[in-house]
Parts: sequence; C-alpha cells; structure tokens
Amino acid sequence: MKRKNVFFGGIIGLALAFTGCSKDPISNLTQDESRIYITNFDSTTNFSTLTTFSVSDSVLVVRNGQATKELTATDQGFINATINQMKGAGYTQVNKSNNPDVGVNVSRIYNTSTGVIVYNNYYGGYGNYYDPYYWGSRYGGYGYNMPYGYATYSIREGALTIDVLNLKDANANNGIKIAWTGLIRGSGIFSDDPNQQVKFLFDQSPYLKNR
Amino acid sequence: MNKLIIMLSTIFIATLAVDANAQALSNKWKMQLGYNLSAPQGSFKNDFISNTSFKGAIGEISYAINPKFALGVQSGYQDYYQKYGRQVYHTQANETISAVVSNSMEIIPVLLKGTFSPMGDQASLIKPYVSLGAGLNLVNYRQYLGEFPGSDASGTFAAQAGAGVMVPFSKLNNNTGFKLGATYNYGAYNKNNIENLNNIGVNAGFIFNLK
Repeated sequence: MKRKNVFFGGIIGLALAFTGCSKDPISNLTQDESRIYITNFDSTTNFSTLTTFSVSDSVLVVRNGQATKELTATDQGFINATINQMKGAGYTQVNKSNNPDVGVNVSRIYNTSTGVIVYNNYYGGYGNYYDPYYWGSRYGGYGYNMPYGYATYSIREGALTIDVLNLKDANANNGIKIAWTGLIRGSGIFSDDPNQQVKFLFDQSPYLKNR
Repeated sequence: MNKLIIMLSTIFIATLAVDANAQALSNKWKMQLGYNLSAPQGSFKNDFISNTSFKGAIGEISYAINPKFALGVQSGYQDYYQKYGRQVYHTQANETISAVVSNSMEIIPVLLKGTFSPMGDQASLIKPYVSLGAGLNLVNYRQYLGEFPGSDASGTFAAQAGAGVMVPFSKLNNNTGFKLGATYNYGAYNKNNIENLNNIGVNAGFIFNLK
C-alpha cells in the first residue's frame, strides 16, 4: 500500500513538474506587442459638427493623484503626433484663443504608491487635474463630464491618454464633455515612436472622420 | 522542451528499474507513463486555441480485475498556447481595443478509467485495447491583451474514449511494453466565450508492472 501511495504521489508530482513547462505568454511578446490601445467615445457627440481643434501646449503628468505640466522631447513628440492625426482626420488647427470646437489634452498617468491605476478614478478626478480656464474664461464655470465608463482597467506602469473635449457644445451640455478618449498602455510607450502609437488610436476610431 | 526530454528519459529509466524489481511479483498493478500531444476541437479550437499542443504528459495506475479488464486512475498535463497578431476588438458599446491576444489553457485531467484488452494474457507482438474514462479536468484559463492578463481556474467534467496498441518488450513478460494510443476527450466548459474543451490526443509511452 505504501508503494502505491508513492506512485500516486509520483503522478501528481509529474503533473506539477510539467506545469513548470508552461510558456509564459508575456515573455513571448515584443515591446510593441505588449501594448494595447483603447478608445471610447460619447455616442451623443456629433463629430461632423466639430471642425476646429487646439492641443494643449504641454503634457499633464498625473502621479499618485498629483498633477504637473511637463514638456519633454517625448511629450512634444506625442503632441505633434496628435496634431498630425487630428489634421489627418479633417480637423483644422487653430489657436486656443480662437475658440476651437474641441480642445485636446495629452496626459501621462503614473501611480507609484499603490502600483495600480484605476482609470475611472482618474477620469473622476479629471476636473482636479485640468483647469477648464485653460481653454478660455467662458468655460470657467463648467466641470468636466465623462459620459462613458471604462471597464476595470488598472495598470502597473505609465499610460498615455489623449482626450478630445467638446468645447463647442459646452453651453448646451452644461459642462465640458469628454467626447473621445484614447489610452495607450503597456511597455515602452515613452521610448517607442509616438507617431505609430497615436496612429493606432485614430485608425480604430473612424467616427472621428465623420465630416 | 529540454525539461520534457529529461523527464521522459527519467521515466524510461525508472520503467526499466521498477520492472526489474517486479518480475517475480503479481502482474495486477500496472503503471503507464508517456508523452501526449493534443489537438483542440470544436469551440475550443474555433474560439480559443487552434494550435496543437505538443506539451503534454500522461500517467496512469491501473489494477487488472481479470486478464482482459483493468480499472485505473489517469492523470496528466497539457499546455495549450496561441498568440494572435494585433487586431481590433469591440469590447463595450463604444469601446475599441487594439491588442495582440495571447491565449493559454492548462488542463490537468483526473479520470477514472476502464481498459479492455481483448487478447488478455495471450503472447502477441501487438495487443490492442480500448478504454473509457470519466472524471474531472482542472483547468487554468489565461488570456492576455498585450501584457495584461486575465485568468480563471476551475474544475469541470471530463470524459474520454480511447484506443491503441501495446507492444510487449518480450514474449516472457507481455505486461511490460511500449504503448501507443489515441483518445477523444470531451471537456465540459461554458464560460469565457468557450463552449467546450474537446480535443483529440495521441500518446506514446511505457507500461510496466507496479507490484
């Protein structure tokens, strides 16, 4: 009987040993493959009525709930890539003092204290990070309105977000609606080419070109 | 893969050693150890992984009720994996994700199994057998969007029908030999957008007296 137990144990041991052979899918990914590109939009926004845009002149960096504005060479790369894609989608770039129909914010988000970012929390605190006055004094009384929710996305490292704000309809909407969001998550966001990454976000959002 | 070769070599050496000790003892308890490859079928193949898994092993301990019928317990391990190139997925109403998806499924079956060998104790170069088994699959589901994992472990019903041949090493001891077989495995599963874990297995290994 003792011998039988040894061999039953052997079978279980063998099965456990083979679990060590399991391939780690992450180790089989390149930096580019590790990244995911998520977009979401407000279905009540009529993008065809929005024709002009302006992009903020710096990148908002949110670390552990604290926001600062920065402009590294990489940040400028993402801002330029965003401008190019907006133009490619048919929007006309104007100075923010010329009342653009949409304002575009580019942000880097980190959370080093808990190691996890829940995006809904970030967008819940959007107004704390972005001052509506930046887009003009007429928006001073408005808060931000995120009309759609994300699933439970959380990350352990930096993420990049691009938010298109509907300024034109702020009065009718009684607030600044976030009309479109693009999120980039994964490895090497800030070391790889910004143009290709921003292009992914716009390519999968054909409704932005609905004009 | 190297681990697999080392393990199979160890199994082979252990087979000979155990068999040498067991020659004089009763032939009722037997053990089978072998390599297994598995090709997913049905929803498992169409909805999750179409690649054949070459990472697998089986082990079985059986008791001969009479020369033709044996009852045993079979376990093992099979690791399935497939990486799909970057594609765009629509995940919620207005949400779109571009990602490289990596699917991984580990299955550890634990089956109660009956084997019928029509030739019984007769000396022969080749001895056919058929088998039926039922029990439990311990299933570890993992899906990665880029580097972001989701996982789900569960235990589900499993059944197996098999057939194959045993090739005895010698006429003197026709209970020890090489075994080659094929199985059709039914695996109940109805979640994560997969309707079953059915697969066809092909196994090769050694069978030897245990006691």
